[in-house]
Amino acid sequence: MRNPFHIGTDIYLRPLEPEDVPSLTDWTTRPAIRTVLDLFYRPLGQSAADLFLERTKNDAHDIALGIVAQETETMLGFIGLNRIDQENSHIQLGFFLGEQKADGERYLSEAVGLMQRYVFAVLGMNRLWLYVDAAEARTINLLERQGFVREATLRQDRYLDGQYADTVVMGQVRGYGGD
Amino acid sequence: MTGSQVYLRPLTGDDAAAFVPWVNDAEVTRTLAVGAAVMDRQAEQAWIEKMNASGSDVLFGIAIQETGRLIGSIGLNQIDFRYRGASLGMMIGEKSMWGKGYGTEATRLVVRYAFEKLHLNRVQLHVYEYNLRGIRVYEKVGFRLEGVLRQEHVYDGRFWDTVVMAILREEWEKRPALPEADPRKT
Ligand SMILES: CC(C)(COP(=O)(O)OP(=O)(O)OC[C@H]1O[C@@H](n2cnc3c(N)ncnc32)[C@H](O)[C@@H]1OP(=O)(O)O)[C@@H](O)C(=O)NCCC(=O)NCCS
Repeated sequence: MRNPFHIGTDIYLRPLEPEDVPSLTDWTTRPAIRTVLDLFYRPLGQSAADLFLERTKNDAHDIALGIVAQETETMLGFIGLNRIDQENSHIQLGFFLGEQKADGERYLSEAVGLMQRYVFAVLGMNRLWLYVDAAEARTINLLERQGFVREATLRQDRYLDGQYADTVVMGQVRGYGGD
Repeated sequence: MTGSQVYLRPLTGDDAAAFVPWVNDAEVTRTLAVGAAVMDRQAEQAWIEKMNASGSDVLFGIAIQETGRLIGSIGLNQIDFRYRGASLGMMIGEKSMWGKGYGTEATRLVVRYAFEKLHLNRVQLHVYEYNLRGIRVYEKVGFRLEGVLRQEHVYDGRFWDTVVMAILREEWEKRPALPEADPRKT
């Protein structure tokens, strides 16, 4: 393991490095991932990857980590935090898997679990939340198993591929399971 | 934009002084997402000028028809022309002017502006669970409850839920005709 920040059983999370730019660029230019990230509806090329690297530097609480398989040392995806609200004690979670593998969900659950522990036990936050595309039933289920609750459905909140899409807000509150 | 009781007008830096007592009044800010910062005239002026210069916000003053008196502000923030959505925010700073239907009318005017002038599709807002007056206003205008963000807001030493409400263009187009003039105001 190289520079691990959080260590799970099968994966670990580590800071992104300039060497990660090629895989990040590859992922962030794929249509499926671009949609999830929302930011990248414009062609960004490598600048999208640079943006990820920059995030951590600009704000101590804007965190972007790579999800890495322990056995093979391959980077599987990304997980991060942003939009901290210190006064109200909440922060937003974001993630994507670059490679759709059979073990993907298990790895992702593990990564989310590591971030949950970090947010509640280390950052001392009271609430962790994120947006999920309402059509992403598998992701919503995965998050529910991790203790998140489907709190709101924002109707026609985004416009993708010629039609409106709903967005779900998933939230977890300290002491309400999972943390 | 003109309603029957209030009209909406642009704000200028000169209006900032009127806002200072309002945004420092704990009863007014209780239900606003303004944070704990103290606001002075310069900060208010900077806020108005920033909103006026912004391509993704619009801000209006709410003034009373009869007297022209400025009583608060209402606006759309995070206007996203790609998704055709925006967030609504409102404050009637003059507490003696609460409960007279002004907030409801101002909201209707801004929602109409959002759909007819900006050609948006969705207007959403966040309102704290204890702001029953605010929730009632938005219900009256046709906003629907979309969910409750648990413990999203700190006020008075504890956590409170934040209610998410939104109105879609299709709902606004199908809205029932407005009731006749409210007898309280005649
Ligand atoms: C919220 C606010 C904009 C409402 O404007 P307003 O002009 O006072 O509201 P209106 O008079 O148009 O309507 C108020 C409605 O709430 C109802 N109401 C008042 N107090 C209430 C309470 N405690 N519980 C339930 N309903 C209440 C009134 O009866 C009225 O409904 P009705 O017409 O069915 O009788 C204004 O009070 C304000 O600026 N408050 C402080 C800042 C704020 O909260 N902004 C909104 C943040 S989301």
